[in-house]
Amino acid sequence: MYRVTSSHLGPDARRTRAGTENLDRGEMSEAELTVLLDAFVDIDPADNEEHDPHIVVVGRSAKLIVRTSRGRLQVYDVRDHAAPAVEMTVPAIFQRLDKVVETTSPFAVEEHQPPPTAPHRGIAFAMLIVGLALNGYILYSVFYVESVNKKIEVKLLTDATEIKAKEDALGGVYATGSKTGDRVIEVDALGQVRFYEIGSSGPINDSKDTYRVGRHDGALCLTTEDSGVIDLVGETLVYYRDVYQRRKPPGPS
Amino acid sequence: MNDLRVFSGAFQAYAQQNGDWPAGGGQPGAVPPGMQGYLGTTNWSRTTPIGGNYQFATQSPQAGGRYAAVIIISSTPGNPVTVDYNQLSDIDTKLDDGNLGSGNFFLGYRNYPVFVLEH
Repeated sequence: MYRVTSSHLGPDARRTRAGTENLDRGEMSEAELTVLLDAFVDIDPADNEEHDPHIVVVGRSAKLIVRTSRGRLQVYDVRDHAAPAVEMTVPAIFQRLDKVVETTSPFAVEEHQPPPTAPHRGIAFAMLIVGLALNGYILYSVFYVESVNKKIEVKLLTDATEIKAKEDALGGVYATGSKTGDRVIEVDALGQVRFYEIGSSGPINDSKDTYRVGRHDGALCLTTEDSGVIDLVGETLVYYRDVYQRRKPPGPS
Repeated sequence: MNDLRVFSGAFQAYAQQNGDWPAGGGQPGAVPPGMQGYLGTTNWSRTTPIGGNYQFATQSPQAGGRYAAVIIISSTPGNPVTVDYNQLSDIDTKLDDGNLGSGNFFLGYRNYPVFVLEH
């Protein structure tokens, strides 16, 4: 059904009616409206020119103003005043009245936009990563302690025969001297090492550790669990830049 | 590290009155023989602000050299000296030349801080 109003138009739509501004024709079926429109195109051209009769039809999808000119129907869309008239046949008018048209409302346009796609999530994810990285860097800066004990990369010996030979050869007592204040490193052939200082009444700062034989920068060394690296230079040990000479084993007493 | 300045003054006073440094060879935190009257009211035997304990040593081999008299801040079991480079550098800047490898305050045996009383 279509809601129909006419302006300056007589009941049969074939003649104009000067005194009638608007005539509400109520709900009309497709057939009734077809009859009305077919009659409308036969209106007298002179009267048509003088009174500008027209029919307003409201359908499910559109509200149209129908005028006639030279036996044809000219249709205007009420919702789009700027659009020019379109010449249409009666079936085309019904199609236009019933067609589901895409609205130009900006809100409707947004409704038809696709949901956020991968690029949007990608940007959000990237920002999250950047934020986490920034937080991590701040925490790292706050809690990072630059140590005075630099890590020395030691390549351990892997050949068992060579390791045994080196341990046997290295085993012994090394010292910076023999007076109070001097320090001693005792290396045994079983991977143990002892550090101490000659005190006024015996060893002080006495500690033990384990070692493994390796190389760094091409030079042989002993790398310990907790006490750093002892370099081997000829027959001496070098530990924290102090030189430890090998003591001769005590002779038989 | 005002403690080190106080200790330095105490050892210098001892050396002036006795003609030599006190004997070294004591454990970290132990007051050297004859120094009780000079160090008794100080923090000598307490844990230092950067961990470890003070130790006096004579003829001490340190970082390739040998020093007549030094105060060492030595780690003791369960009481390690800090290894924080920035913290130690700050102390060096206040006490000495700001270089932990040279001057009268430097890192010696096991990177323990060493304060030189006499070279």
